[in-house]
Amino acid sequence: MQRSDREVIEALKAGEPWALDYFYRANAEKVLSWAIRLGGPYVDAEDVAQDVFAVALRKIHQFRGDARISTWLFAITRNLISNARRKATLRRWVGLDTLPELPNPGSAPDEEVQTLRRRRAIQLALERLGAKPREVLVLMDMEGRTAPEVSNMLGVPTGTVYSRLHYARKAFATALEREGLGRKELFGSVAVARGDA
Amino acid sequence: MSKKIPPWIEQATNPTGTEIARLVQPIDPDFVQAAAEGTSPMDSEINRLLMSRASAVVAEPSAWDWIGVQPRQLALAGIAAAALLTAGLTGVMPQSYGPVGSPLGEIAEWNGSFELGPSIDVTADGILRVAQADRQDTVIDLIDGTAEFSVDPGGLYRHLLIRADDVEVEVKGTVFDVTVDDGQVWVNTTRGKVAVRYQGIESFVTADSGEWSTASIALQHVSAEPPALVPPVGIVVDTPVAARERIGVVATVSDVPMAAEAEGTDAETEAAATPRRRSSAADFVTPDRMMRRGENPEVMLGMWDEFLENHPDSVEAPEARLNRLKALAGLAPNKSTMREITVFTAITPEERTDLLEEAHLLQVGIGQELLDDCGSVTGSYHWLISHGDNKTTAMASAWLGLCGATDKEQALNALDRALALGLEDPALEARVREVYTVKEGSRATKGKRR
Repeated sequence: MQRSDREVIEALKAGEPWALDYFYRANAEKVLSWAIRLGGPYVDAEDVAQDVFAVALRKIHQFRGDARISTWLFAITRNLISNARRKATLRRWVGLDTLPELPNPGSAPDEEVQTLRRRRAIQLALERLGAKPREVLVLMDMEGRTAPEVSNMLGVPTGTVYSRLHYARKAFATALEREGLGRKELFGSVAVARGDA
Repeated sequence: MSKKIPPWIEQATNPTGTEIARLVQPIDPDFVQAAAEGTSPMDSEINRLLMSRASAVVAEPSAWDWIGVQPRQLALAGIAAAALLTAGLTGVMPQSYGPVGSPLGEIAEWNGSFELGPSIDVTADGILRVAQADRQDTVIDLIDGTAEFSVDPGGLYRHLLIRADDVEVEVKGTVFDVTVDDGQVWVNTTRGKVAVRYQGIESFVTADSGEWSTASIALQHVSAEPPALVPPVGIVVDTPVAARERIGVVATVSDVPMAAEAEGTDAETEAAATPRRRSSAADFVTPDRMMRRGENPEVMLGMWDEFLENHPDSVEAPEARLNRLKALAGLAPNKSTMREITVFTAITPEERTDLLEEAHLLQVGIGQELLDDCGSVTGSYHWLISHGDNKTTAMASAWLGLCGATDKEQALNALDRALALGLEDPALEARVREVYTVKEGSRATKGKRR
């Protein structure tokens, strides 16, 4: 059952039992995706996502409903990711942190290992973009949002959104190449053999 | 002309929505889709996150949520009230709270951020001096560079006065920056309203959310007399067009004296006898140079837009269009705006040679009617200078000096001077002479270009 943002927020504020479950289910995948794509390989996406929900629920009474829930959650995610990336960078500088190891084949299902390896490569390609172009690429191209919507989420003019998208696309195409992500790696051998790509 | 310059560049207008959509880099949707799928969370990850909701707690509303005031704000108010009460009881008013961690006096802050009292945040790329800091006023002297101020409109000690040379900027709650550099003071407001005062004239710079507005004040240390409408050729006058327009409108006409020549002054004679300012390297407005001069290309663009909107038929309009294009071209390497995208993609490296030749021809423009062409193409020409290799840059720089020519005689004199200075480009010269049907030694022309 689809519920409006206002309905969910009011129910959360009132402590309705269904609201928390609905809030999580409606937004979990979205928040996790942001954390994976914008956080990069050094940030633990699940930790960030949990923190996003914790912060959102802590501040739920301050949410006035002027923006959509997704916009509000994105703002929280963006802040937490920024903090997490800064900490990760510091840890790397002092040598306390390296790229998290991927599971070895055999220690996890093959499909999961493959998925994580491909994710890592795409994350590294996204890392080659600046934070601002990366946000626009993720929101517009990967999530299919419109420029005005992204403009609202990021608080920048629509022209700036297009500008960032322009350079994000150029940089991303180059970055995919540098990470060795061709059609075969991105689409899999089946698609290539089929001639889809 | 073998390559077509997009009309919006030539006409110094903004690109249309269609042009913008066309110019944004395309991307293979299959690649994006694959990348999106490759970074989508796995079911196991989503499930773990959903499980964590068991321990999630919706915070109880606090009193602060209901009354709309956060504890920190209330604490600040309490501290302030206590301080006032104490001062009142003892009869001793606090003399100075001072900037946090800094004594009164000079603060050199290059790329630094700091708090100035409880309500004012400063991000500085320049040198500041805190001249006064008490509960009545905070007075900052901006000695050099740029400082951005963010003032909490409801905060304590929010009455702030910035002094940049002889310009005063007064504010009580806004976000703005002030730059003082090379005889110019810039006030750029991104939120709220500030009052700008200079030589007894007060004006306001306001901005709504998401917009900005700018005032540029050209300082006059030589004379307080209102400037002439158009500065005479050869004299560097960083002065706006009219006294009343000094604030809120940019009308700096120091580096392109074409309008003066158009009025039929002694410019022609003078120009023939003296090197033109525009041939000076200092006049080539590359983005780096604009930045060093504190001239944000985007800000400049907005200001020339405003000028042209207000004075479309003025004698300064041609050079305003030219300067607008210079600013437009100046945006290119910043890669940060839509306008820049269009410039950057509209003029490809392959078109440089053709553009360069075309620019040369236009800049040896014959006759007053070519003034606009000369001006508009100069924007592209500056773009070439900022993107070309050393040879291109040197050649462009030399030939750029010819742009101010307003009749045949001037053009040919300028051409001769350029050649006499050793700024030779035989192929180009041949092309110029061919187009203008110039006969060696005769200085006669037949017909017009194109």
